[in-house]
Amino acid sequence: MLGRCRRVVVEVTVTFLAITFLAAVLAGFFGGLFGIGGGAIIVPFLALFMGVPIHEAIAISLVSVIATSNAGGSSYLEQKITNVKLAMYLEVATTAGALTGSVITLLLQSWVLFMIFGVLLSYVAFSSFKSRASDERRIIQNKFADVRQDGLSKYLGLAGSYFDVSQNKQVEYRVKGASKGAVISSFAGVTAGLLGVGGGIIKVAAMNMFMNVPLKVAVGTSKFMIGVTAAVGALLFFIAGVVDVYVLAPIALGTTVGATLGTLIMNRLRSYVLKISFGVLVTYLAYTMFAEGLAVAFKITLPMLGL
Amino acid sequence: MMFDLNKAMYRVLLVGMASSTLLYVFGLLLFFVQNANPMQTGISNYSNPGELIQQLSDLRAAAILTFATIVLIATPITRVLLSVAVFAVNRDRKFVLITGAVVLILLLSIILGYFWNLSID
Repeated sequence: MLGRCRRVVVEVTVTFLAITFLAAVLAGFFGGLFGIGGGAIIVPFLALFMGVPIHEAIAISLVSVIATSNAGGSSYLEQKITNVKLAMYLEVATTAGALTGSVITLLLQSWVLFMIFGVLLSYVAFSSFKSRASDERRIIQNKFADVRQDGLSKYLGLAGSYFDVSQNKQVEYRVKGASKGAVISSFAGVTAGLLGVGGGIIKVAAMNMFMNVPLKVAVGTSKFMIGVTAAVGALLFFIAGVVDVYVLAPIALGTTVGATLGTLIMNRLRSYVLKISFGVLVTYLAYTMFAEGLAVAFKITLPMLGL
Repeated sequence: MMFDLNKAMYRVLLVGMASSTLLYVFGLLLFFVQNANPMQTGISNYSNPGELIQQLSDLRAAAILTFATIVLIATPITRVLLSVAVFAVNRDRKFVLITGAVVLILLLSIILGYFWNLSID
């Protein structure tokens, strides 16, 4: 249980702050690039290498995820990539999910959930490799605009356009699959509350694959939604008193710096490069989730790649 | 009108990000200056807001960092409240309901967190 867990005292030294800050810059950079909060890197980093209890690591990560969303979210808004109405619609699902996730954290053993999300991430990785070139083809052939909308998407007026810098083209698109998107987004919210991640990986995949949203819009919209999604769980953890601000400060600062850098170069990259890197990252995260689950449940230690 | 909301939300996020970042930097500087005990946790006691305000005026590092965290968490919440207001003014009922539901969920998480905190004390 969160509040009852044994308080392991973390020695906050200059070295601790410096290493934590640098790791957070890296996590924020990837977050800005791929529309994820970077929590998937921060949680294992704090729990495995900095001696922070896993529940506190999750709580700290979730708060820092808000920082990356504020940074990335504002930048995409300015570049007019974000679809605000789509974000607000899906936020109902993600925040409800996040609340559920935070409560489940208290009730279920964590290793079970690591395994579940390991499976989910593997599926997302598989799908993103499979369809890696299709985004550019869809843009060139105007496929995003040429689609039949479902009733709910049409009722809410979910459509839009953005200027794609690398394609030098105004891309029009119409959203479909509103209810399917909401169901998947609520799972993303559960992941956020549960594991201290933004859940952006799932939201980006859901919007791009099932809702006919161009990848860059999906990333920008996801980044925008993550702030309030994480805020739901962060409020709960913060009021419960598990957020150590000495550990949080370098993490929040680092992710803000990293996210700003990541977002700046995002629209200059081509979707093809973006999608391959995204697939590699998701594969790695899936592996980390499994390794974590095995370690917690059966004390089986798999090598942690790259960390 | 949608354009105005975008711009206002952009400003909220920017101001929230800038002020929480500055507060975190300031708090960390104070942490070094005050030579805080590295073995002590930075977990504040939220059941006593008066104490937090007192420590803020004394410029204690942990209190400044706690305030930075409050600003950080409040930022996306502010932009949700802002959008509820804008949709209400524009009489966009669909989106008042949608954003209002998010506000309800936020309130629920405060209540749950509060009761859960009470239950462990």
